Amino acid sequence: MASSNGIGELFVHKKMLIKQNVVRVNRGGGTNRLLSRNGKLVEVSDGDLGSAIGGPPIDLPVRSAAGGLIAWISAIRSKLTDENFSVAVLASQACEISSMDLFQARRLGQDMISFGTYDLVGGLALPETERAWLALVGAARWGDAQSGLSALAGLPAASYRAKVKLIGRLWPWFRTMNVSALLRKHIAPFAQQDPLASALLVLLGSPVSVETSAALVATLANAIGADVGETSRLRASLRRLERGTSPRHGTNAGRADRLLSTLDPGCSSGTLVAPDVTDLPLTLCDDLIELGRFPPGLVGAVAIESTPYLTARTTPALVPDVTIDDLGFEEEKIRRALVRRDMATLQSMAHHPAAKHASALLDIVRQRTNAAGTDNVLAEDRPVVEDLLAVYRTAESGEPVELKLTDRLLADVSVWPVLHQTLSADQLPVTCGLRVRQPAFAEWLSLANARELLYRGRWSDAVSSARSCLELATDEAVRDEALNLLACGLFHRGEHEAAIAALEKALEDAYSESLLANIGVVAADLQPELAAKYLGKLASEAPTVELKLAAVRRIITMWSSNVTTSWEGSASGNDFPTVVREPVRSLLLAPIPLDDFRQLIELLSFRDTIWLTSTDFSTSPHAKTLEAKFFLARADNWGKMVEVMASIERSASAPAWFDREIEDFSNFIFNTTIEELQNDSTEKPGTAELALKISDTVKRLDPVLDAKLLLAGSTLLLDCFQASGTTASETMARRLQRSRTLVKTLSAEAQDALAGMMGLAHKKLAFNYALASIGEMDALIDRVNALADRIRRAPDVETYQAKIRAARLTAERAAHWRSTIAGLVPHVDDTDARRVLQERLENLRSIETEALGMI
Amino acid sequence: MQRNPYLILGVPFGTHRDDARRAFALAAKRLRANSDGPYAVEDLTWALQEIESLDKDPANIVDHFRVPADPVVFHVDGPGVFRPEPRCMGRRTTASDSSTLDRLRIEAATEILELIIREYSGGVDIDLAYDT
Repeated sequence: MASSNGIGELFVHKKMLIKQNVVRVNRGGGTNRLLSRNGKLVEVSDGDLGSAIGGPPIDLPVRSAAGGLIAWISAIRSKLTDENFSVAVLASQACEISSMDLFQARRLGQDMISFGTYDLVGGLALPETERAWLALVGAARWGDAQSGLSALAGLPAASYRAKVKLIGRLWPWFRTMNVSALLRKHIAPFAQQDPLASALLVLLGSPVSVETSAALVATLANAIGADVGETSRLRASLRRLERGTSPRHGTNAGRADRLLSTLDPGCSSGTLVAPDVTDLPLTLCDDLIELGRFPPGLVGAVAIESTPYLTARTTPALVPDVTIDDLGFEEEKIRRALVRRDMATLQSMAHHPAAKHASALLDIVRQRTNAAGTDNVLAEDRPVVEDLLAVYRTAESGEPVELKLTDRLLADVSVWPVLHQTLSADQLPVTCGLRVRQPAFAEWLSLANARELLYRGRWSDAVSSARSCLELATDEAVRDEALNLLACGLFHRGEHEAAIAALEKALEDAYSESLLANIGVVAADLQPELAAKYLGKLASEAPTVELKLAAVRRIITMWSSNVTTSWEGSASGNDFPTVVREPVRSLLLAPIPLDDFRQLIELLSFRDTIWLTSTDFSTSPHAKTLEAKFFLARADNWGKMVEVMASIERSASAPAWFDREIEDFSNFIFNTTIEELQNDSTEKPGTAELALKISDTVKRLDPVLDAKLLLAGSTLLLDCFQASGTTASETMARRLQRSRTLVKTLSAEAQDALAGMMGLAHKKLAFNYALASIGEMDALIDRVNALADRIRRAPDVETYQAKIRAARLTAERAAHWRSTIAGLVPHVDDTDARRVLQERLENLRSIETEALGMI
Repeated sequence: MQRNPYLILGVPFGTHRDDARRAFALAAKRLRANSDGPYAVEDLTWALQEIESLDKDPANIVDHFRVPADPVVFHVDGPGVFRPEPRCMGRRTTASDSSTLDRLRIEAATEILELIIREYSGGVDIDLAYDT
């Protein structure tokens, strides 16, 4: 809202053809001073001005004549308007209007505070301290601690008492700033008259007594009108500051207040939180513990060096043994020694009454008599001990102990294991009477006896005891264990089917990996597929990879030993059954060791090729290993596998299994090649090509094996050529040339062994060439005759020269054949083959001569 | 049937080799006293060697029948003469004196002053500027 004098009103000013919005920043004497957006001031008479089109965008009451301009400044700074008038010009015009009137200047200062533009008070025509005061009021009003500090520095320390309240207002910000000295300087002069000043000095660190601090709180609360009535939230806190009082309710002000209320036995409130006890003196922690108001969960929040002590004070069972010693916590050490039957420790602490008590108990248990006496046994424990001794006496005399097992004795469950450990199953049988009178003990004892009898190899007795337990037990875990013990006894009695049935019953509903492993053991011989089924479950559910692997290995072993049996999911015994396949598949992608990965993928590369080649291996940690590449290639096809074999140079290091695979596979292919040479097979070309591919590309191949594959593969391929009438290529001749070079590098023994194969290969090639050259020579002869005729009848020089070129080509072709066959002849031992080759050589020489004659 | 070294020695499945040695001594002693059992001393020796030479965690073995399968069911919970409940350690410090509590009271007073000043200093009236 603009002031009634029209300062701050908005007009449209027209100059030439341009209209623009202007704000009236002053007026008087029929003239108006207008501020345009470009910051220029123009003077316009009332008659030329027209009507106002609006006022300042912030419609708040103003106190001064120029207040409208301050409203404009606030709006522009807050971006509440698009009218972007110069803030500096607006401020200077506002100050100019109020400059001649102290009252107006002060009113303008109040407007500046109201509109949050108290930073402009420096332009007011007021004394410097008054301007600083106005700035401090503005800063306090708007929570501007930094400006407040600047303003405070401009004020005299001992005057302007009202500034204490402003400092109090800004205290939440000041307390985090390092300005104590400045604040103290401005507060201290008023400490006697103003409780707020006294309070602030206390907060600034001035020493204070309990009484003074409590009185100060009360005074301040009263002075500022805080509610301290009986039911007020402050009342309880105020009372806690007075010694000997016990408020029973109230809201805690902070950490110390909470601690005070928690330490007060009469106070029901006081829930501590972790930060409350950090750095708390140990004496106060002990006070709280004695009051039962130190939650064990807070122990970790206390200084770390106090943790063992406080744990021993609150939850002794959690203190490690070594800390028990460090703390000298003898009672707990003795208690643990008793539980562990650790007589040596008890003897080392014989001075301690609790140790004497514990030693006496262990003596009684060990000797099963009261020879050592019960004097040292604590009176409260003697009745149970006397009952126990009575049982021992009866057992010693060979009488049944059942009637001596009193209800008082068996009510102490810590006695049960003692009885079981000190008396044999024969001395402590589970009788009908005991089952009726103490069914819980009878159930437990049956189970414990069954286990003990298995440890003694008394299978039948163990079976009876396990069955006795099953008649009583209802808890599934106990029944499962009883069935497990029953199965063990039956298994060792040779009743495998009954043992399997017991374990299958135990495996219903909840089960453990131990039960799965056990049925894997029991069913391995009689029902290996059933064993594999449960071990497969173990492989998928076991908590560790090692156990999963162990289960899978056992499955594979069982299947390997029973391949003649038909398993579900396999058409015949040799196929890969479901119960084997699924666990192996599931484990292959798991983070298993590389050696295990290789064994599994190797198995699948033979047995499960379709799954293997269609599975995404990216999640396996071994996806990029040589193992994965090699066996995936093998699952895909042997050609790819040979390429992986060829990818590692001879000089490069490679795992032993890789060289072993190369050797095994090469030998396998060699043997297959030899077999197929002796038989008719449609696989011959493929086998020959594979043998030659290995020889040609795998650099890590043993030289002898290389020569064997080269010769056998070449021979088999030539065999195929012979059958199909195919002429061997030059590559074949080069291979045999390489074989000759290779064999020369081998030992004499190896050369002798390979001599026969070498001769056969060369003979096959000789016959192949001999046969091939018949047709070739007929064609060459026809061509020579035709050329001779055409050359004679050549109509022109170009045609003649073309025929001559043809004759040269023919001569070269004959020479090539002659050279190839001539190179082969020395390696052909067979007389007929050699004779045929010699004839071919003669014929080729004639053709060559004839063709050359034409040129 | 594969031989089970743990059953032969009469110890729980997975027993550590140190405990197995002790069990061997006890079993051998029993055997000397009574030779009616199913095992000879050679069996005990073999079983001990099997357990001693084990190079992996028995929990990852699936070759032997596990007795017990669930050791927890043999535990009997509850305190008694032979298993007394733990008792908290006694106090090792003296009770807090009045000065400790006074320091806490002063600290609490400071907290309350802070609270009062924060909550009750309220806003600033503009008229405060010329109230003095």
